[in-house]
Amino acid sequence: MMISVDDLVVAADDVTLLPATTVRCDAGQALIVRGHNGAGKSTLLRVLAGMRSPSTGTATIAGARISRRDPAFRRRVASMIGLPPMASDLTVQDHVRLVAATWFDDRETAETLATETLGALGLDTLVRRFPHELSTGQQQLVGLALVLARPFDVLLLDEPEQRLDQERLDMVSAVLGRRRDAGASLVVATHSDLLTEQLADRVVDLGAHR
Amino acid sequence: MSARLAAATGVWRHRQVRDLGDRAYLAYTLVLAALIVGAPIGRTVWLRITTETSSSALASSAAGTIAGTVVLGIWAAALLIGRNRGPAVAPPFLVHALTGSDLRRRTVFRSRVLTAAAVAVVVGGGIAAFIGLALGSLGLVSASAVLDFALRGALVGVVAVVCWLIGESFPRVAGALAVVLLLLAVAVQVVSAEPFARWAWVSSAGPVVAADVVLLVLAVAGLVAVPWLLDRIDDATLTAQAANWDVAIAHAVSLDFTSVAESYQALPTVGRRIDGVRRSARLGLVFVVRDLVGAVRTPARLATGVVTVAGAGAFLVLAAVAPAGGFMLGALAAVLLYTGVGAFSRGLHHAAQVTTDLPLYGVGDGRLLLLHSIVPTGATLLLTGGTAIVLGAVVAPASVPVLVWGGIALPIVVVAAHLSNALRGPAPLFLMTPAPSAVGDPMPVIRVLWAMDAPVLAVLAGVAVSAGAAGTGGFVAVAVVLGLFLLVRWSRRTEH
Repeated sequence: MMISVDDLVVAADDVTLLPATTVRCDAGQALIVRGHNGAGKSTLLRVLAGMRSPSTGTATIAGARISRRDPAFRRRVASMIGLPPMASDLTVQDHVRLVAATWFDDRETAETLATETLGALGLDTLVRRFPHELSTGQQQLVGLALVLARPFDVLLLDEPEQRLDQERLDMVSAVLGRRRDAGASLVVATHSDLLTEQLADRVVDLGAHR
Repeated sequence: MSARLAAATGVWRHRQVRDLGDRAYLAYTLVLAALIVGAPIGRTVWLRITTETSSSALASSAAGTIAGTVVLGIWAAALLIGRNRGPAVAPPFLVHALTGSDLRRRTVFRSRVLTAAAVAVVVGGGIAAFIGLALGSLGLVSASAVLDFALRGALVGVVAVVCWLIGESFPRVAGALAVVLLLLAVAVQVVSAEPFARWAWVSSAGPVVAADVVLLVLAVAGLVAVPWLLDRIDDATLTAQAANWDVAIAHAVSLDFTSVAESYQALPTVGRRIDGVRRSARLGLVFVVRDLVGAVRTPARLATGVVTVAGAGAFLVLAAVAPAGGFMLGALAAVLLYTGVGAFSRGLHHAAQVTTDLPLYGVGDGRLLLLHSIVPTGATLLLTGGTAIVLGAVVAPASVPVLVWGGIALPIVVVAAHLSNALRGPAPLFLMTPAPSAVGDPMPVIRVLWAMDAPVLAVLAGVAVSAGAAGTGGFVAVAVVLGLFLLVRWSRRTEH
């Protein structure tokens, strides 16, 4: 099993941020996390991304403990929980190519993946823009491009539908579907019925706990 | 002020009315600050400039030439600052409400510009009067010359405020005008003959009537043009400057000075067709090209950075040859270096942000920071170190060993200070806790020191290297403290 979460609880003082949750997700599957605002969707993703420690229970990825400082974990897990930091002096194309260049020893592979990712997300007309010249929806797409232009076994996404119109959302859904079919495990926290319908192999509704 | 404007600003001001007690406390604080901080500083400066060495230097024609350069530099700076933060700035909502009405800009913002002009008159005239009186007390200049100099100081202040407003009203023209003024500032150094040597300085020969007339004409013409200049500020500029200032104040109150600086950093608009990422098997080269291309995309900032960082090298040379006060020149070199290196360290700051966030690049956090340190370190070593060594070899060959040390050590420490600053993160909780003692609560001062530690350590390093071998111990102490800060912030980076 690629992702195993057992009786995971996250609490701060006496406030429960994530109620006891048990889920599994295998390679080539998409786990959709649903729930109302504050149900704990982002908290679950933060634990899986190594940004937050569980109060009780366990979470493992590929059978290993979660640590952002572990190079193997960094390579295995890509995540977008909020927009990644962007460099104000780089264009959209520079951003994606630089990220790809740091992950692949083979330059051609890096260039090809960067170009394909930009094209798949419809960003090829925006490649020469700087971050401050993008709309919020376009920034969301660039953020997604940055996590897709690198290798991963597990992809964690928090509400990727944010600020996207229907056409862009279809595009994102198609890209994510292809990565899942290629063997990646996806964990997507979302309010989108479309993403749920098109991607879900498993659905966990955190709101159902309350 | 029109009745409508008075009513609107009245509503705004009544949000937070200061009662009598608050006003009395504010006055008490200001008086205490003036007595405890202002008076000793003023006395020290007075004693320093009334010594024989200083007063004769201040009475020389060289001082007049330098003053001319400084004044032209101030006007150029005012023009450039006005492009980002002019005198016609108010809270964002007030700007929205007032500029959305049919009130003219001149009506809405006139009082703010006039207040700025009044402050400039007091500051400019006050500084001139202070220097003039100090020289007058030694009998080096007459009373009429002091009075005349104070008047010119006030007029210089008024012209500076008008330049500030021109920067806001006509940003492009202001940029060109600033370049002209800076060229003039250099020319003043070259053509130091009378009457150009005394127009901005106190003269032992009495009042400088020609300079008085020229400055008076400039100041009056500028003041007359203020309403016209105000009417020409466009909505986008007013809104953007109001929003930026609001954000900057919010960051400054929370002692986040890095964000304050970032909110006024120039955004790139050119060089988008240059590939920032080259196909190279060597990752180091990829990041060097990325940082250099990033720097080129804000050409004005890059040019300023190059001049400032190279200027730091020149100040290290001055510090080495100065008969006295070399430590102040060393400190100034560090300030210039710390400020100028920002043009080369955007990548470094981005890397620091990335290390506190989710993994983005395929290299470890430490290596990422090292890769982004290459350009700022290399640029400062080349520009500061190179200028210091080459200029030192020409001007003071005996000082070259000291300059080699300073020209290498200072840039490395300053880049490390930048990195420490970028990794800072939120203030530790213990700094937020009051610590009452017999002499009051020191925590506010400690909080400011914590927020400003990077530039403070850079300045201390500048002071230490200017002392040559005698300052080695101090320099090592600064480097050790900086190293500890870096270690702590590095280990805490993922807790933000």
